[in-house]
Amino acid sequence: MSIRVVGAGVLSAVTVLTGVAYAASRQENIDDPVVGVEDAVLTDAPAVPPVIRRDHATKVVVHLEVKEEEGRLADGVSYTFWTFGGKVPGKFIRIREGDLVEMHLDNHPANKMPHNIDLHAVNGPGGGAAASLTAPGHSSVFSFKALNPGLYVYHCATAPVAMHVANGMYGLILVEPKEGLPKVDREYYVMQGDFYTSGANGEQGLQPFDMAKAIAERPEYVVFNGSVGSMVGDKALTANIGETVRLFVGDGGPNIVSSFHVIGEIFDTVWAEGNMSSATHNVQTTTVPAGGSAITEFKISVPGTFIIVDHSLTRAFNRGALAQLKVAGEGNKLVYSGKTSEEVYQPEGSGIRVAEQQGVAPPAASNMSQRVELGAGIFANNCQACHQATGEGIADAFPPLAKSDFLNADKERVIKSVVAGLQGKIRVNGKDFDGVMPAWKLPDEDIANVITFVYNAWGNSRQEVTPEEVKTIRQRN
Amino acid sequence: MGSFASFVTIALLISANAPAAGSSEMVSLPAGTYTPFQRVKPVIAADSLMFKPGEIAAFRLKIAPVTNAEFLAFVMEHPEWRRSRVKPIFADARYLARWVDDLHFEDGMANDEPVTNISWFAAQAYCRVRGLRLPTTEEWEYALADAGRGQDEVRRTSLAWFARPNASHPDTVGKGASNGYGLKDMVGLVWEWTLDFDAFAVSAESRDPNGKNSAAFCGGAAAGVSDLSDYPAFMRYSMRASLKAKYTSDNVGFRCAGDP
Repeated sequence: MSIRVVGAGVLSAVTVLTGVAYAASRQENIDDPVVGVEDAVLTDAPAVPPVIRRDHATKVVVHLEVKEEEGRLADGVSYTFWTFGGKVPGKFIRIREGDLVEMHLDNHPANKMPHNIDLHAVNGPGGGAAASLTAPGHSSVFSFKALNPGLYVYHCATAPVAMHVANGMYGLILVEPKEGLPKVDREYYVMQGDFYTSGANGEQGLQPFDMAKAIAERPEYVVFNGSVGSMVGDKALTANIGETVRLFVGDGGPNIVSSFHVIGEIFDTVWAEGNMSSATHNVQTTTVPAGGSAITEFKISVPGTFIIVDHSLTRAFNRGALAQLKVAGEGNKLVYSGKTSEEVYQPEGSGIRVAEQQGVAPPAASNMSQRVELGAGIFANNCQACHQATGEGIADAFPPLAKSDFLNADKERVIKSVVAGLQGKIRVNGKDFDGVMPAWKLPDEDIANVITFVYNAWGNSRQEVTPEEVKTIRQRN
Repeated sequence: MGSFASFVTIALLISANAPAAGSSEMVSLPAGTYTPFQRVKPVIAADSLMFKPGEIAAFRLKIAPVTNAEFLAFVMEHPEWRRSRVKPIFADARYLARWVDDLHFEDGMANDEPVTNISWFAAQAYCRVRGLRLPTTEEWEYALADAGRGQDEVRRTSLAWFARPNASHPDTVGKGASNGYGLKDMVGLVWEWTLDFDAFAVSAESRDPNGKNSAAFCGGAAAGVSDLSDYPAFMRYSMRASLKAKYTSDNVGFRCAGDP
């Protein structure tokens, strides 16, 4: 009981300290003198503007041009996006704590809609929205001082907000802390959003916004950076072994909260919800709220392709929330070995396939035609599932037995394969196979009969295999 | 009940006559009531928002938006409204921007496309020389509400227009079906000026539910409207709120109204 009391005391002390630090920081940022003026460097996802090297606050001029433009949502599917800067998500804005931002919202004359901007980085009515309602063909200007460091979402807040956001009107603004962020090798901008099309997922052509699906929160698409496949294949994010990668992650919504995860990586550091005051470490999946953010960092130790997903998984695999990070370089086998072996798993603990036991001695064949006849039944019970009744096998999985060069070239090799199993790369009739055949725990008589059957079927070399031959090879192995 | 019945009869008569009328002609709309989109603060019991049923007197409204040809005729008679002569306080820099010069349209711009890039002052001047005026926002919304007829189609047409990539100029007027009053192209071609477009203006914080007339301009105060699922209506009110009387826009036109 006393321990609990002490613990609570420490906790509240920390809370008080944090509160004091936070308030001081805000006032400091209000008072921080603004020196000089510069135009903001703005980037389209997945690029991020360069790290800020300044050691003082300045005036940063930001021009965001709102464009309503048709673009690709998925292969063969287009959508009339409403954008901050021509793409979804909107331009990435990077400023420093204490900066004075002069925000210009330029609504292109060809647009139909009025738009505005609510930056979550703003302390002020509507985050700027009240000051920036802008008719097509006009511009609005307002300014704000960046008081709180962090990674913030901005979005259009013109009624109906949900529709403006559903059409792609969101982006991220990073307010770097004065002391800067820890140095990393690569930074990327990844923002999730949900889309509501009249046509079902995959339905081709220009798809209008579906109001009913949006209100019911039933998206047809949940995607990163505005389209299905925005960061896969040639467009995948890249990194090298040994590098530390930072992802600035946002969720525009309008509705769907992300279970953000990189398959095969653990986030060494997460700045949860984009806050800059307390990092957490060793995180598998981090929640990114709609209208919220997270910063994730991880050092890459293993090469390969890492899949970035919303781990609410049907969104990743059926709605599009999937991206790739391709990592080049030599891997450390101690960190990750890759597949070292593959074997048939037998719950009984045996690597040997125990065929059906009848409890009586199998009938013995007295000549080759009896052997073929008995072998046919053994084949049907034990082999046919993979090699097929026609002996043709299954392409890329189970090699053919019909007219098989592998079979006819070496009888002993065939007997050994059935008795002891066969694993690894083989070439049959010009095709490579890399699978596993278990060892068959069948009596020598049955093995002789089934191999004889195979040799006398489907254009093979009509040889006979005797139980004695099987026994010899079994003993040798 | 009696007034409702006569209301319907008048509406049907108008509807039957509508196809004969040209797009430059006017139709008469009967007096009636409708549910406005925005809640309004009553003078009494001002602490709660309520829907004031809109009571609309009879009026006339032009069948379709004013076209380029119609507006050209106006500027021929009234040179002060030509592009080169209009006073900057009455129209911004994009006034008639898609015309080639004072008296010619851009190539491929048809006579019967709705005129756009018109300021409120210019629209009102056009109507006034014809003894008319712009419709009030309530009159315009009442005309669109169409006594409840075809409202699903109104929303579909609106959303389809929003989703269509922006063209270099709008389609021609009068192609679509008439509504119950015989009106065409109320939605789907251009936004339209109203007489009191700024009466529903946004307050300082557009999402403050207690703000003056702010209800429609927010996510947070969505409670201030009669139909939360009517996104096109939110759009119309937002659009009007974004305008000033001298503004012109590629997608804003107008039609005139008059007393009966």
